[in-house]
Amino acid sequence: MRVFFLLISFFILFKCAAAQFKSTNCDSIQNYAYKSVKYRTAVDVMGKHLSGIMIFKQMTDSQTRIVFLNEIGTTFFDLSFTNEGYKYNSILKSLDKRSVKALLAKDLGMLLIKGIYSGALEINESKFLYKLKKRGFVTYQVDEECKPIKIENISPKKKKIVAINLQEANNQFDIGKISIEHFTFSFQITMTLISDAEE
Amino acid sequence: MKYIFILLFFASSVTTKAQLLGYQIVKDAESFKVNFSNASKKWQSVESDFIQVKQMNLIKEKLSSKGKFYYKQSNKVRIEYQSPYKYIMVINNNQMSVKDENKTSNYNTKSNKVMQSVNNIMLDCMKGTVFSNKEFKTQAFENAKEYALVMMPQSASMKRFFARIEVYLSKQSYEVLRINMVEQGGDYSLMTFNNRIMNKTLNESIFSIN
Repeated sequence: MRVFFLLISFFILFKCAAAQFKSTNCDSIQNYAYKSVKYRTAVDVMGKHLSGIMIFKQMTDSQTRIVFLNEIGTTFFDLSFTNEGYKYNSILKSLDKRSVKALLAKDLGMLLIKGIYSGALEINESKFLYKLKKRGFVTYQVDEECKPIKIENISPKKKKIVAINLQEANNQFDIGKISIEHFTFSFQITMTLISDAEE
Repeated sequence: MKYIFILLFFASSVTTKAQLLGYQIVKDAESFKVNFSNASKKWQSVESDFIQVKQMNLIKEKLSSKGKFYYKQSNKVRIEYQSPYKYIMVINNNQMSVKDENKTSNYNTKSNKVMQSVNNIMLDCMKGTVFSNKEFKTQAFENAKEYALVMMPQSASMKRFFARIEVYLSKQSYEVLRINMVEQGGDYSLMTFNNRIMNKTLNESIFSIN
């Protein structure tokens, strides 16, 4: 009888697992290239407002660099991502705090899908799940072309920490609008693509 | 031998300090200061178009923007970026207002070091008081058509933002033609002022943001 229950339990577990890890048409996420794009960016944090231009640049050695500067041209920070990690090349003194740097790198690493993960875990319907090097997970919801449309950072206790919504640009190559919202404190970043024609 | 090296080192530092490609040091700096100051006193107002190019050498990128610049004696400046983004910065005496696409913010200029510094440089250029800005040590250069003022930051906080600031003036009128803000590492923001109109009546509302 005990063996029978064990067999039943394994059967139920197997069925559940199979349903949960059901494969999609997407073997991997087809992320946006971020070859060289500029975004009008607004940052609202704890009642303070900051604006500027965020530049994403794919460097030749597969490194992605993100530079955020104000409208006058002063650099807030310059951040490099590789698949293995990230490095601040420069950062304004007022932002040069460990927690701020980790927070910004996590948000931007989630967009790039690099530098902050210890590995990809599962595919569930149209969602991909990644484990952060630090605590927590990130899920990617993709569209029929396997491009990410919604990214969520969740804690080990499944509490939503950050949600990123992506809206494709008219050119279909870039993201037109990015909104990053934190749920544990008042922090929001919104980015709107600056098209080449506008420059 | 040791002294020769020391002398050579000092000689090379002096030469580096006193060089600006295509320009020579202004010999009669005192006359230049007086003439610049006198010319500036005649400007009740300035209205100008501007083009700003931010050059980022390491990532081989440049960002161009353009807009309108306004100045009114003695402490009012409006820098209005119109493309590719909308951004207005107004300084009216010691109060600074900033408006981007989403929000208007008001600051006391003393609370934002970089903004304060950029605005002070703009005001100094218009008022001909560049040499009295204590945050920079300024040296004047010239060629056949232009004067160039090279401003070297003196305080540690300014050195973090700028390696130097170059201000280019018309030799004929002393009007500001270009301002180049060079960062540590060589990236720079070059503002070029075109279609300058001096002493036009400017409405007070230009220097406030609603």
